[in-house]
Parts: sequence; C-alpha cells; structure tokens
Amino acid sequence: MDITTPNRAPGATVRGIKPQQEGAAPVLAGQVAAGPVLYARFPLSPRSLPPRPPAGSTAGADDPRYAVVAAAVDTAYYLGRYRDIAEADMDPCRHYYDAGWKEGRNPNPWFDTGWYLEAYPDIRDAGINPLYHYVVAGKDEGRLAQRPGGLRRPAAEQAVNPLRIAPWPVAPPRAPLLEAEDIGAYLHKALPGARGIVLAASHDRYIDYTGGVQVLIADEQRLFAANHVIYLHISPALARLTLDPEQAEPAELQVVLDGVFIGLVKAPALIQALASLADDLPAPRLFALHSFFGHRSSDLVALAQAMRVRDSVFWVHDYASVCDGYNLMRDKVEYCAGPPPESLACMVCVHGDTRPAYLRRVRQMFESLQFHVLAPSRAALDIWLRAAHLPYRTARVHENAMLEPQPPGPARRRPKLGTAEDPVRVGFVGFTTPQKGWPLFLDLALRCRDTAAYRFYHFASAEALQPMRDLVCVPTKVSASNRMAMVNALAEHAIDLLLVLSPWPETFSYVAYEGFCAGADVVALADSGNVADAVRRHRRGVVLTDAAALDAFFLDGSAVSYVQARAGAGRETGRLRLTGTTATVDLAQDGRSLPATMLTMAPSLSLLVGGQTLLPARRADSWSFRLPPQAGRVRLMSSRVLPEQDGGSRARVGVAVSELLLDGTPVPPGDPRRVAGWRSARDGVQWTDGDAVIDTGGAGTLTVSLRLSRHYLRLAMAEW
Amino acid sequence: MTRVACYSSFNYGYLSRARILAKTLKRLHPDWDLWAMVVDREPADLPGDALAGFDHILEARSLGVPDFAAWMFKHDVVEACTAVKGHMMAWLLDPPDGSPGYDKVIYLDPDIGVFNPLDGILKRLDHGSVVLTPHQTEPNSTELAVIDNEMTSLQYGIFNLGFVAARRDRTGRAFAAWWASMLYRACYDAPERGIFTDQKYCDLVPALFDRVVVERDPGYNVASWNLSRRTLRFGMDGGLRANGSPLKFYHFTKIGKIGDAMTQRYARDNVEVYELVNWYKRELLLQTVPEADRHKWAYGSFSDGTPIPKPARVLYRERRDLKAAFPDPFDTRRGGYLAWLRAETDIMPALADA
Repeated sequence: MDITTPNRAPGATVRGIKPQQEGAAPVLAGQVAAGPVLYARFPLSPRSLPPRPPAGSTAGADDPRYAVVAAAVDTAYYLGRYRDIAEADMDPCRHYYDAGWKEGRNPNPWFDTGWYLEAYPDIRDAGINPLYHYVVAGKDEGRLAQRPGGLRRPAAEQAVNPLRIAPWPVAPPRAPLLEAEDIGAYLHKALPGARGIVLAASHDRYIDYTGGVQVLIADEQRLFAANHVIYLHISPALARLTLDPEQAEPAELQVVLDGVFIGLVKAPALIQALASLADDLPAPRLFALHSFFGHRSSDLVALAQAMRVRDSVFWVHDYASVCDGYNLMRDKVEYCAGPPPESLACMVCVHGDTRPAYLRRVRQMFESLQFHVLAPSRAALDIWLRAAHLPYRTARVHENAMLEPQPPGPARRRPKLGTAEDPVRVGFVGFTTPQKGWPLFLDLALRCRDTAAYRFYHFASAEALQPMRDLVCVPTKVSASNRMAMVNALAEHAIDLLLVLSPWPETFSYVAYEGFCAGADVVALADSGNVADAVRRHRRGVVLTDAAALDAFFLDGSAVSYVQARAGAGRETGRLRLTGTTATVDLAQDGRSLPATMLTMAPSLSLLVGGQTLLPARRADSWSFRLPPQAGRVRLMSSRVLPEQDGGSRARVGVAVSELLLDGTPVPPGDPRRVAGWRSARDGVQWTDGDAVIDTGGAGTLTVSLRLSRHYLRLAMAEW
Repeated sequence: MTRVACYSSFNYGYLSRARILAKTLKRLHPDWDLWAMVVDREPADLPGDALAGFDHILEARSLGVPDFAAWMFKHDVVEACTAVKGHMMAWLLDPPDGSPGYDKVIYLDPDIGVFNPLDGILKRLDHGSVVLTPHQTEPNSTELAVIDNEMTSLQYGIFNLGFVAARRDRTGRAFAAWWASMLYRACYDAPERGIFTDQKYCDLVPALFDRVVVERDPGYNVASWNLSRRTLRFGMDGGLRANGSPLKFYHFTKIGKIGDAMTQRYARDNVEVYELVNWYKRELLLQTVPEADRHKWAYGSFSDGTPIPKPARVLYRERRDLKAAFPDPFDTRRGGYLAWLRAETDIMPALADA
C-alpha cells in the first residue's frame, strides 16, 4: 500500500493532521479523501518554526502614522504592480501614504484599499488612511482586509460561458487564402515516397506556441516525418474556447503541412481537396484530434470522412469532451467531476445552460468517427470513462512522457534547515491562474510570512511574474530551442518542494515532471489527477486533501521535517523521455480486454421508487438505500456504466452485483425478486444492464454490494 | 391522490423573480398546481407567455376581499403583496365557487428558487397542519451576528413568511382564516407597533394552533439571515447541499447592494453562495419581461396617474372618516381623496416640491 506515512507511531495525531489509517483504500480522483495527508513519502512531524526577523525600516520614525503604514506596504509588490511609480523612481511607502490610497491602489497583496473604504463608510467618511486604520484598529474590530469570498470569488465572477465570448482572429496577417487546387498541389508535392498521411486538428497553430499540447504535436509531427508520413494540421482561424457554432458561412482553417504554415482555407475547399485526392493518398490514413475548440464538429467529421481515414484518434488532453469547461472547474472555482448536465451544479455553472447542446454535437462526432481514445494518464482515462459517456472503438492510456529516475545523490546533512540560513525552498511554476493553483500558493506564502523557515519562489516568463516581499521571482522562458529551461532553473535554485496545486485533475502535468527532473519533490492536492498519481507512482512528494491540509503541512513545520528526511536520502533527479504521442501508438492493438476482467468503476447508483429517486449511503463497496414503506418494485439505476470495449458498444452494461440484501437477507441470483434487467451470473456476480428491477416488497433497506476495480484497460504499451 | 397547490404573490415589477420561481419549482413538481396571485393589473402589452410558468393566475381584486379598493389603498407594494397571502391560502383550501379545494397548500415568495423536491413538506403535512420555517435554526455567537439575526428576528418575526404551508383540515383552515383576518386588519411595515406585514403575526402560530411544525432542516429557506450558520456545498454528484442536507430552496432576498452586503458578511469564503447568487442574477436577466419592467404598479397611483405617497396611505389607514368619505380612494374623477389631500394636507405638495 503506497499511501502510508511511515515512521509515525500508530494512532498518533500530529497537530492538525490526522495520521493516515494503515490499509485505507487508495484515494482516486473524485472520491472523498479520508484525512488531510493522503500520501507522504517521508515522515511528517511538527516542529516549531523560527520567526522571520522584522524588515528593517527606519524611515519616517518621527511620524508614527507613517511608520505604521510603511511597515505594511510591500514595496516589491507596489513597484511591480504600479509601473508608473517605479518609473518615476518614487518611494512606494511615501506614495501610498500620501496619494496611493486615495487613488485606490493596493499597498500589498493582502489589503484591498477600494474594498475597505467601500465596506466601511465610517472610515471613508473620516478620511483616514485605510491601511493605517486596519493595522491599528480594524483588524482587532473584526474588519476584513479584503472582500470576503477569498481568492476564488473573483474567478466565479469572471466566469463566462465561452459561447458568449466573440471568437478572436488568430491567423497571421496577410496569410494567403488557399483554394482546393492549391491544397491539392501542396499534397501532390509531398506524396512521392510518403508511407501514410495524418490529418491532425487542434485549437491553435502549434508551430508558433510552446505550451504542453503544442510541443506534443510538434514532436509527433517530427516523428511522423522521420517515418515519411505526411502531417497535415488544421486549426481554426477564429479561436474559441468551445465548438464553433454551425452556421452558413464556412469556417476558415489555418493549414500547417509537415511543420510549415501554408495558409488559410475554407473548410469546404479542404474537404473537396481531400475527397478528390482520396484515391492518391498513401495508406495508412489517420485522423488525430488533439482539440476541437474553435472547430465545427461537422467539418471535422466531413474532413476525416473525405480523406477516408482508417483510424481516428481522440486525445484526452483535457475534458472538453465532457464539458466545454474543459478542466471541469464549476464556475472556474471548484472541480465538479463532470456531473450530469441536469444536475444543480450544471444549472448554476456558467457552462450549464449550453452544455446539453454542446454534448449533442460532441456525441455526433464520436458516433461518426468511432475514435480510439488515448489519455495521457490513468487518472484522465478513468475520469473520461466515468464522465464522458461517449461511444468509442478502444480506450487506453498512452503517456506523453516518461520519467527515467537517476540514482540519488549523496545524503546531505542540513543542520540549519528551516532557518533563515537554510530555508526550505518552495517553488511555483507558471501562470498566476486559479486553475494552476496560484491563489493557494499566494495564500500560503502570505500565511508563512512570519517565519524564516521557508523561502518562496515563482518561476515563469517575466511578464507573468508578480513580485512581492519575500517572494523570489525567477524569469524563466521555456522555448522550443530550450525545453529544459524550467528544469534547469528549478535545479539551479535547488527547489526542495514544488507546489503543483492544480485544483482539477490534470491529465498529465509537465510541471510536476519538470520538478522531479530538477530534484524537487512535489506537493499536490487530492483531485489533481495525474499530479497526485505521479507523486505516488514515483514516490516523490506529498499528497494533501485540501488547502487546509496544505496550510497545516507548512505551518506546523511538517514540511521542514519532510525535507530534512529527504535530504538524508539524497537528492533524486530524473530525465524526461517524450513518447511521441500519436506517432508511437500501435493501433493494431485494439485495446480489447477480456469481458471477464471488466469490472465496475464508480457507478453512481440510484434507486427509482415510483417517481422518486433515492440516493444511497456508501460504505466501501456497499450501497444502502432506505426504502419508503411498501416500496414494492424499484429500479436500480447506474448512470455511469462501464463501456464494453468489444466493438465500442456500451449500451447494455451496468454494474456487477456481488450481493443483494433486503433487510440484511440475501437475494441471490436467480431469485424471482431480481425481476428484470439482470444478466447471467458468474461466480455469484450478476451484472445488471444499467436499469435492473427488484421487487423489494415491504423491506425497509436495500443493500447492494458491487465488485469494483480501479485497474482497467491495462495494456502492455501503456503501462510503465 | 393528494392535490397540491403552490402559490406566490407579486406585482408585475417582480415578474422576472416569479418566473424563476415557477421555472425552478415546475422542474421538480410538474404535478403541483402553481398559482400566481397577482397584486396588480395586467399591462396591456404584456406578452402572452409572460406567466406561462404558472398554471393559474388570479388577480388580487378577484379574491373577494371586502372593500377591496379601500383596503388595497392602505398598503404600499410590499405590504399589499403580503396582505393578500392569507386570503389566497383560504381561497385555495376552500374555493368560494364550491370547487374542490387543495389538500395541501404551500406559499413561496417570488424571490425564492427551488433546487430540490419539497416532498419533505408534504410529508410534514401528513401529520401536521401548518409548517413554518424559522429565520434561524441555530444560535449565533458573535455580537454582530446576534444583532443582525437574533435581534432582527425578535423585531420582524421568528419565522420567515417567504414560506408557509397548510393542510386542508380543521387547524389548517383555522390558521388560514385567522391569518387572513389579521392581514385584513393591518398588514403594515410597522415594527414599532409590533407588526411587520404578514410575518410577525406568525410568531403566535405555534401558540394559537395545534400541529404546527417548525421545519428546522437546514436545506429550507437558506438566505442571508441564516448564512452565518449554514454552508452550501456542491457534491461530486452535482447536488447542492446546505449543512449536508439537500438545498430545497434559497431565498434570494434583496438582490442588490444591501442584500449583497449581508450575503457576503455571512457567506464569507463560502464561494458556492456567490455562485448561486451569480446564477440568480444571470437568470433574472434572462427572465426579464421588458413590458412588465416598464409597467407601473396599478395600485401605486391615483386614477389620474398621480403617484400615491406613503403618508397618504398611512393617513387613510388611520382615519375611519376618510374611509367613509372616500370608499374608493384611488378614484379622482370627482376630486376624491386626492383633491382632499391637496386641500387639507401638505402631503401632496411636499411631494411635488421634491
């Protein structure tokens, strides 16, 4: 079992942290976690943290009010945020004290000047510097320095349905508009010697960006090219964060052929070009769909069909096939697991009202193209299978990259660890967005500002950095020519703990792997998908339930004890091997697994009694329903059913019932009370077809035990 | 089969809210009869489907309230929309035309959104006769919260009358008749007299009637007045719960600056509350009927269009001689109450100056 916290006395409770129970079930994405620490490679023990020495500020000592304000102004933050003050070479404390607060400027990341004055009109009317008031009185009076709702509230307020955002042009200026004949001419030129052709689609012109998916596409193109396979890539000329609505005016596409942008083409012209060339195109022909945002589903289907592709591949780089809120963050604030579109979560979420129509279009595409579904991680595939409910030909895990661990370095003593002389180095990589967990990182850094035990680092491109006191900003730019820039920067600053706090299940997360390669351990949250899985798999970090557990891990000193233990084991690094994504998938392996090994995944059971839906109480693999009096015939529904893999049919598979009890008495397979919707039994296990009728008579409780497995679709090539 | 009626009371200015109520309730209880008690006159240009979410529409003047014009005149819009609630409940339990009454009748304010089935209320009415939901069901501990919540409830009523349910039995009927009579007598915003519209009277209900159920499930009537003790959370199944109980209905009281201030004071970091309020604000825009928004409340002005100031209503309430002299105080065709006000008081000129 890989989720223990070793070297802790059984049952001992660390301040604020309950120990993980031995033998507790592994926690997967989407499940409720059992305790604050889900996994920690090294022992955690609390310890007292040294205070941070006060920042030496003597300016304005003769004006006590000024001294109070100046001590609370974060000069790095102020100069970083207000470029005009920096350029005018003004003293930020003096500026805020004299003018900045009247101009609504914020003195630091934790005090909102405008909000304070709006929320407390007595302070506004008195003309008092609000920061001064907060520090000397407001704080003790219970007044708040920031608008309530935390850092997630602005995200919720800014959330908007992507269909309500006008599409934006992304094509290069003066790009030529190609006709069908032009495309034909380009392809004809590429045909001699070609041993296959790939039509690939994604949301942008991958050759000009260095994000995760773009890098993968560039790699697979190069790998295909090395094997003499033509790679024709399309992306929309007008970008959208959802499918492009079907409309009369044809869509315009950007075309990149074998890594070179050749121009724009209207979708019907491209369809025509591929159809007329279809007899001449080399086999095999493959359609690889990396992202359909900005595309019209009808165009994608028509293109693949015009080219007469042998196989279509769909990549689960995100969850756009479950919802156009592609990272399944309800209202951009919380992971929602892609609930049924009719759920309250969807009703309230900005994506909810258009989701049913969106899903219909996605479904049409999947029904037409019979995809091989490829997920870069087990976590992503599990979620996709549970939440997407789409037909497919095969489904499997195919990692984007693999970590090759290097032998650990020598054990190191760090006697001063957790002091100002040798603080634990804590890093964050990338954009300051909620979906990357920046608010949690920022909040943690602010909470830890009174201790010298930690030093916080932010690694990102220069324009994404947000300077503030006690945060080391490291401008780092990963580019096609320097893919190791982040790994090198993390290693150079000897980051101990990299916080990858994605609040949604990342399908892969390069950042986590960059951290591993650089010798950092990763701190992740539950529900972070492959981040948490990778931490466990590589035994390289800590998985915590939530933000409160994260705070506790740092504030009670457990983080210091962890890093101390880690130093004793020697620093581990690694090398990342990219797999080549689509170019290394062997589609001859059809992903078939024996039906006997298919087992139920998270089944989302409910009971239909008359017109009423009852939800069960779950205990391990048993689900109990309290029945109303004389419930009689009821229907056991499993809304999330396991898809059958042979032939892609998924309609008739429900859940594998190992035991059915009415008031504690077994109702075995073959019992007439298993009225309808039951398939044949094997070894005491009987499958339902997803909607099984049970005659409960006058029983008060119905308990169903299911045979569950989380190991599913194991394929040799996908396993590490 | 039990016949259930749910009703709401509003003027056309509140139509967008009422439409959200109808939409969210009908989704869960398509078999209930939904009644609109409209305290207004229909705007001439109102689109035909403006009230399509309701099964039945009844205008207040058709309720059969004695001396309707005089009675209506005594109330401002909020008071008027609450004053009819008792009569409407009695009407639905025992329609005056002798048609069969409803077995169970539920009132919901138009600014309520229903999120999970209200079957629990029907169950309560299997044994109880009246169901009320208190503003608070858990004590507060901080001074500010006690002032905002406990002390306010002492002044304005323990139970929130955005919801009340009654069964068609002896006690349910007696409650409806008593409530209607109290509201006929005085349904005013006058806490200094111990009255707050239809609500404060109901503090007496558990004392005056048997089989009164105080529904304390935290999933009912969640609003800014109990957010200090309730937390909303979405589950992975997409369900929404308040303190772990499925959220049955949320009372979107005073959406706007004042309501938002109280909501954020107590919702604090419970971001789900803001999400829900954001949804309601979006839905309000979607459900807006511009013709209704432009419409002026029918009982807000004299028959010549002159707006009625509140002091004119208060004076009319207090002086029996005025009621005798002007049985229809809205009517200005022969001068009427308006002419008298202009001649004998400074109420109308003061308004004109303003």
